[in-house]
Amino acid sequence: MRFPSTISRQSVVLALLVTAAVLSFMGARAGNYLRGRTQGLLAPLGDLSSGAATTIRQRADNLGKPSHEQERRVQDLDRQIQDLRYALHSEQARYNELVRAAQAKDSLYGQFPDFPCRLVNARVVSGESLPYGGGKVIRPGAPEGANITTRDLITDRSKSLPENLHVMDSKALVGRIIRAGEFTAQLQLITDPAFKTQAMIWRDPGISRQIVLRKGNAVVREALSAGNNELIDVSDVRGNGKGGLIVRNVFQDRNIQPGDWLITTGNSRFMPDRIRIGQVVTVQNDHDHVGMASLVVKPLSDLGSLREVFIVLPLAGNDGGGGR
Amino acid sequence: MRWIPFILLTYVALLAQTTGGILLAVHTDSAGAVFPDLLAVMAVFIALNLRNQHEVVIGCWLLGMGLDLTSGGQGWAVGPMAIAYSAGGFVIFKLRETFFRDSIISQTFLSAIMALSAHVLYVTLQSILSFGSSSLALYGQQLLQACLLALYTAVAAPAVLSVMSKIERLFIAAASSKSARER
Repeated sequence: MRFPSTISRQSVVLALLVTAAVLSFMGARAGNYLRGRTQGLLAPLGDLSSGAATTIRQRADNLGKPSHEQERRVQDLDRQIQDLRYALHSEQARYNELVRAAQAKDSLYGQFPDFPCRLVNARVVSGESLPYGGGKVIRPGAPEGANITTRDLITDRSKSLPENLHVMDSKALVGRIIRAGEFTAQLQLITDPAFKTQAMIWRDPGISRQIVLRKGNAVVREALSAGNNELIDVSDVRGNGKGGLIVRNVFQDRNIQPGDWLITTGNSRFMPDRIRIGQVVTVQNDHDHVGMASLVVKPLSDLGSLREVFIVLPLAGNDGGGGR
Repeated sequence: MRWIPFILLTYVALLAQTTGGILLAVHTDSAGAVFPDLLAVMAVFIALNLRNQHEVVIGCWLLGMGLDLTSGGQGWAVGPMAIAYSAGGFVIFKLRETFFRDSIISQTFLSAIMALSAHVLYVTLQSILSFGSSSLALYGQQLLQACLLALYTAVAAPAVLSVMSKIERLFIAAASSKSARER
């Protein structure tokens, strides 16, 4: 391919640099528009290579580990222990039934009377080319601590899905949709620094501790039990960009311990039920605010190996106009 | 330069980076995920092997724009990486006479320099363009990420460069007499 003699290479270089500068100053909106238009180019081949990469990674992670059967038995036992713990708490019993019912289903297109949403199948087909992103394409159909914090998805929707829809895998919340087009969407992972949400902390009664309770005018300390284990609202939950989430402005006297669970509030239009997000790994006292603490939460799902996900589509009032 | 094969090669490299990057990623507590920038190595290769500096800049611009369009999440502009790569490619082109171009050590060193300079410039430009929505702590983390990425790129450079040298003829045309006179 030769340059026409009337256009010099120098002119082309200048034009390209000016274009890049102009696009830079046009900001994120123009950038997102251009990225949306080019997303579909990577999707077809990205699905194949993403599948291969994920399979290789999962097999490498499984080397030297107990057999699948043994692991499944251990997981079943763990799940049973967890189920028993949840059953002790009156507010968690209904959530536990919904989770078991959903995970037992082969197809997740069904409609659950108590879960007024449809789950749209989607698949991660590619990630980001740079690790700084704070959001893969899902084909219709169809690790830990991924600091590459967005994924391109392909959906089975010919029309754009609305933004901010929550996305989950078979275990937990994994992110939300930040951009969508025809048959494509971009997923912002919960570990992305731009991901913010409100949530709740469920303290595990199996971890013994003393908590402070207010009974009338008196303040008493009691051992945590199923009877006094109220859910704790937390409003400042955001991704830390390093494979986890950080929860700020938590009262120290709540005595949150590593092993406690971060769950969705269940009163959001985008997620009308409580599902798990992750588990507390560290509790740090906030030196800038007396009596407050910050939590670091590890996502329950392996975001590095994310492949099959489900977009939670509210049924009432707004299903995004998404036809198939 | 044969532009159409080069654009196809850029597409394949972007695909490898967006998907295989997950496979190669190393997760650190302080800096987050780090994986090699294969396109930086490609930029070094064309800077070392093309005769015309304008073609080097154009090629690097295409590589950088490809990265801009396939990254960024929310709140990041398109264009800074194209500028960073163009600048980096130009600098490598000017510096190449001081190195043994066929030496693996030189190529690895230049890949690290290219990745470091381009990514530091990219992160800095994005932080400035975000008009204050980025914090100093996040900027520091991203700078550290850029440094580690440059090191990882240097480690991966010999493998990438050996592949590039085998397919060089697909996208770098032999110098014509006219091209030689233009230099």
